[in-house]
Amino acid sequence: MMDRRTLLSVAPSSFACLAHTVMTSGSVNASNPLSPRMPHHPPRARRVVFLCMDGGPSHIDLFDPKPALTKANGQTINKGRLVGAKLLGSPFKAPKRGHSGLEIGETLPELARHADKLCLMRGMHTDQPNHPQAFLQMHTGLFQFPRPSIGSWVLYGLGTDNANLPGFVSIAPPANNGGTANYGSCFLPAIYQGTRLGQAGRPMANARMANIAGGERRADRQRTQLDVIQEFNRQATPSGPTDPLISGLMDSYELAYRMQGEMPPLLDISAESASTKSSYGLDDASSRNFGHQCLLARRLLEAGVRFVEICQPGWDHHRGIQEALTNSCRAIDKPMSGLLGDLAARGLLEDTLVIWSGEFGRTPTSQGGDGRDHNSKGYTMWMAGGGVKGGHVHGGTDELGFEAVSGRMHVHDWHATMLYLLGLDHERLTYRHAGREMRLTDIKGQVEHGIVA
Amino acid sequence: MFLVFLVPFFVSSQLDEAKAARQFETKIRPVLVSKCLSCHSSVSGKMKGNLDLATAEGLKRGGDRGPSVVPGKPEESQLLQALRYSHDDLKMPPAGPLAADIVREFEVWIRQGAIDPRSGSPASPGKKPTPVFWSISPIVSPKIPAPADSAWPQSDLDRFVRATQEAAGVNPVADARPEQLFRRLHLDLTGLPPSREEVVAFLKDPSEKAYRSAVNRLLASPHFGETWGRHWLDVARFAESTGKQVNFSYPHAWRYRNWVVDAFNSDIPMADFISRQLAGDLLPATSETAKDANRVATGFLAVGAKALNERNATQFAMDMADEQLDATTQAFLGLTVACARCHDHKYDPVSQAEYTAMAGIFRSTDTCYGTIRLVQAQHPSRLISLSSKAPAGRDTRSAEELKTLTARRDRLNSELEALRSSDPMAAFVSMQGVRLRIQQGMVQGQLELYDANGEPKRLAMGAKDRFFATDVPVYERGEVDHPGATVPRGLPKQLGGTPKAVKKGSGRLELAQWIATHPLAARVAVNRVWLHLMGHGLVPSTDNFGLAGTPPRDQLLLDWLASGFVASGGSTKQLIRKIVLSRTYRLGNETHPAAFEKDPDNTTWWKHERRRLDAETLRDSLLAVSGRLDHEPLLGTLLAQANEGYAVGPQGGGEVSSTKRSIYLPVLRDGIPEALALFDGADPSLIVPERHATTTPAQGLFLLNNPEMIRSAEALARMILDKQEPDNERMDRLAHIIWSRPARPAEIETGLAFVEAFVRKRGGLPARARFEAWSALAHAQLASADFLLTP
Repeated sequence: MMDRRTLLSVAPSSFACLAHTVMTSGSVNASNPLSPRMPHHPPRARRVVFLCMDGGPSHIDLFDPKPALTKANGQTINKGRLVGAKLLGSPFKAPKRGHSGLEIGETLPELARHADKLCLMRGMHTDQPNHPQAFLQMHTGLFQFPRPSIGSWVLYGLGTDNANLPGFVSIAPPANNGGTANYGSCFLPAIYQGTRLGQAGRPMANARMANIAGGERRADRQRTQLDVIQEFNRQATPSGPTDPLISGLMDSYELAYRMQGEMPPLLDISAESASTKSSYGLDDASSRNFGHQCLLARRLLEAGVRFVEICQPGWDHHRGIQEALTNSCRAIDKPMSGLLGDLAARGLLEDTLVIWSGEFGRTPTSQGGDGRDHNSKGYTMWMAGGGVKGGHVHGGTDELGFEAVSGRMHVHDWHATMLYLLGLDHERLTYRHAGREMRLTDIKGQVEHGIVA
Repeated sequence: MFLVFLVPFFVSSQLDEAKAARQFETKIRPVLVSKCLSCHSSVSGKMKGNLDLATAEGLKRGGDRGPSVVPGKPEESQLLQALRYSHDDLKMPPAGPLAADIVREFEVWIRQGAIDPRSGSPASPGKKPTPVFWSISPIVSPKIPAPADSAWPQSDLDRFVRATQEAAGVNPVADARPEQLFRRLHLDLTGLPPSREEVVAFLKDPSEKAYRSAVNRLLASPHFGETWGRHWLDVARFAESTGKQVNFSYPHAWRYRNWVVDAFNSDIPMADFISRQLAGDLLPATSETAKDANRVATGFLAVGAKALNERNATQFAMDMADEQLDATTQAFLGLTVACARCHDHKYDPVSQAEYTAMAGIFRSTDTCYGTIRLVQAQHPSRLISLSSKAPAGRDTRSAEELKTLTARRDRLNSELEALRSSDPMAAFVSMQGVRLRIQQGMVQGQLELYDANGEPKRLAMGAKDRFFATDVPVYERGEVDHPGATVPRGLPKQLGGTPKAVKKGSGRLELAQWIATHPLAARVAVNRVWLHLMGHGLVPSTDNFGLAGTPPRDQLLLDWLASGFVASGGSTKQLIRKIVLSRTYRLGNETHPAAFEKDPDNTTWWKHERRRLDAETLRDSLLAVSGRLDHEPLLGTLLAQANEGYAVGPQGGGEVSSTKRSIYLPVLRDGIPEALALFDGADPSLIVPERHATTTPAQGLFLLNNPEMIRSAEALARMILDKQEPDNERMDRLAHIIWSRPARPAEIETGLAFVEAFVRKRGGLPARARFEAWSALAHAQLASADFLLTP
């Protein structure tokens, strides 16, 4: 019998082939290419929640304080495209928090309580200071060519623990900046694509999964109907003793039916206690929507979903950063804190990788006097949980925050490290397409062992 | 005997060359880069002594002192003299001599011919052997084999297949039953199941004559082009929007889509099909309509994905040329030539210089795709004006509507002007400014589609030659800020076919001629037809006929079909007829344990390969059996907002209300309709010669709950309850409509028991209960294997 490793290395060219290989080995349910798989090496994390900050949050005002910038506030500087630009010191303080003394912007007081869980990566950089390119690169590794999304790669590599649920869920993704490509499976088989729940800019409370019927009477009637379908399938033109197509179809119906039973109660948060809801910020209008997303994310992860992405728009603070950033932080602060606390309390944090990132950071210079422009040369993201050092700072930007100068990590490096933590070797997680072996990290990417606990 | 010797010779000389190239890459190039290029490079800007060591051409040419390297003769090479510090006035690098072993590497390298793979052609004298690779070698029609079992074959095709089976020791299964075959033929040729009446008639007379007349009828059906045209649109990466980071509409792309449908329906010869798409604008045409059609055909070059927010104009132009080159070579030749953009191809005999020569052809082409200049979109292009005979594809605008639109645009213009004069920065970055610019642009995007009388302009996407042709430099690692030596436009020399030199114009005519007569064009086309009819290709790597692809399962059969295809003038319909009339095509789909044992992957076609219906066939069949399909072709587009500007579409696909055939549904990049995306519809940003066929729970949910399924089931229930007949006949009628066959007794029993139990359980108005019960039953049949899988 071929193990998962061999399977991955021979890179099946289609699901049909994958299913066939598994099938002929006779040990795994042939109709379920999502069943859990052996990683390449022992994993540190088993699931991922990615808190995606759409717009490019300012590293300078949140996680990478710059005293020299504050001192030089108002001075003119010439740097690259920025000619005659004025430096803008952060209007916010960033007190040291936790035992580790991690500096976290004062606009995130709730998150700061979890300082010792966070690993700040201050040396991040990406290729382009342009939303659509950078957003797509963050999600697929490349913006020049269509590629599968990170969640699809992870699902392809690891399968999922609960076959009755989609393995990769993207909550409230934006319609622009690449749209569906950010959670699509591209050339990977469609079974690895993300399932969308809700839409950016719409209240989460109304989010439904497509093609799920509700109501108990309906479910009862549907079971009867499904029994007839399966009876017809059994009677279907016999094309041999074991027709994998027909048995695959029959299994997929049973899976769909169970998913239909499991998803609606999972998406219904009414059973959560008032204190839990409050800890996620659901009782505050400003944080209710993202809190709902975080709570859903926890419920999905707990139920066995492999990869959950949630998204908060509105970080493109070209103007009035003091007020705008404060508002954006208020929307996510309590929900994030609630999520980290809840995951920890349930013992899930140790093997759940929590990722927080925007597509890039912002300039130390001002735009329109009180805003900041895009900055792809240096920014901060953080991770917490499964396998990463807590209360740790990795890398840094220059003294003004323009450019990553130490512990530099490109998006490819982060992707490689994320896969590493999940037990996958980014150079071996390949899929043959258009005549060559494709990877999430293309031909780049280096695992950053400095952040691994 | 001759072959036996030839092959090892070729292989070994190729290995030598690969070794030499590796030697250059590991030993020589790093030294050049670190020690020489800072002063002697066309790229760094310093070319002391007029010596350019950054390119192979420059190295060979040398500088003011003459050639720097004489291949094979280290002692006569000035480069080595300089490195050895042996001449007083020629000591390099100036900082001090290099280590002796490095100098020795240079000596060895020069002695062995100074092979410099950077240009793709070695500096050494002598001829490179022409690669002998099966896929690019000329097609020779093989002798028809005579299998021992002479009774089974019904055609020459069958003789090839049977001979291969005999060699593998397997026997074919029994022929398909008439109802199976009939349904299969309809789905394959027209993407729609037969009507109940057609099924009844054929089962009454399932003769060879009746089968042949069905083949003729289906090949002549307008639905044939819609189905086979869709297969082509998969490889032509057809879409109605730019995709990439900002998604802009292509409101005129539909003309190319319809041209493809017409091309398959009129069965234009393959060579014309190819050359019109690559150079239709340069071909003679006898009428205005034919001229229009030829120009629309060049839409192939224009419908690719584009990054309209790319700031660097050269980057944008090179990306577009690369996209066109990639689509052209993959779609027509099954080769991945675009791999050579940044380096020589790793497998196939295409150098980066040859890539560049081809890219020059596309850079000398004026690609007309439209779009407008708007926030994040900076590369609008012209479109092609067609004659007034071309269909409009959209309604005329009244004078009033036009006036309202113009007034709206002018109002937005003046608001924007006012904002600009009060706060120039705000007009650029503020929410209000951005909103105004977008609104203004979107209105302008509508206005551009009409003439002053509100009549839709006859515009098309496509290609023209630029007034001046331009050659392109080799870009180091494909990076546009590292241009090297310029390469004249031309075609690859080692890739087979008969490439002619480009003398004037862009070179698209020469490109079209090369591809249309290339042996790969026929082999690739034949392989795709086989794939669509037989379930997998004669060449399994349908996307790669290069050295990294897989060899054909049966090259004799492939070449026999390909040579027949060429001899027929490249008629797709004749090729399809040949296949569907074979006994091989007409095999049943059951599995024989003995055959399975020997050939589990069915590589010898001992049974017919069962498949799930593709996304379009599934949706179209669903509409057809319930009487809801709109059979008329669509002139125009179903884009939610068919104007220039941002593409508007349902996020994540969503439902489409149209009942037109699926080929006419809007194809938005990153937003194809859910009903297609869920069932492995082609991603229009990729070139897709072969689709996946997954079975997923999300599909199960769609089939159980999607409103489209329920609408079809209810329409069927209405249809059969309207007829006064006993319930068992109703069930039989449903089976004919949905499964294209009579119902079996066990199925009738299952179905009627379900209806009865359903009615009893539901209670209420009997008429309503019966309607719901029959809807649920029809739904179950639509969700069953015999509807979803090919027979």
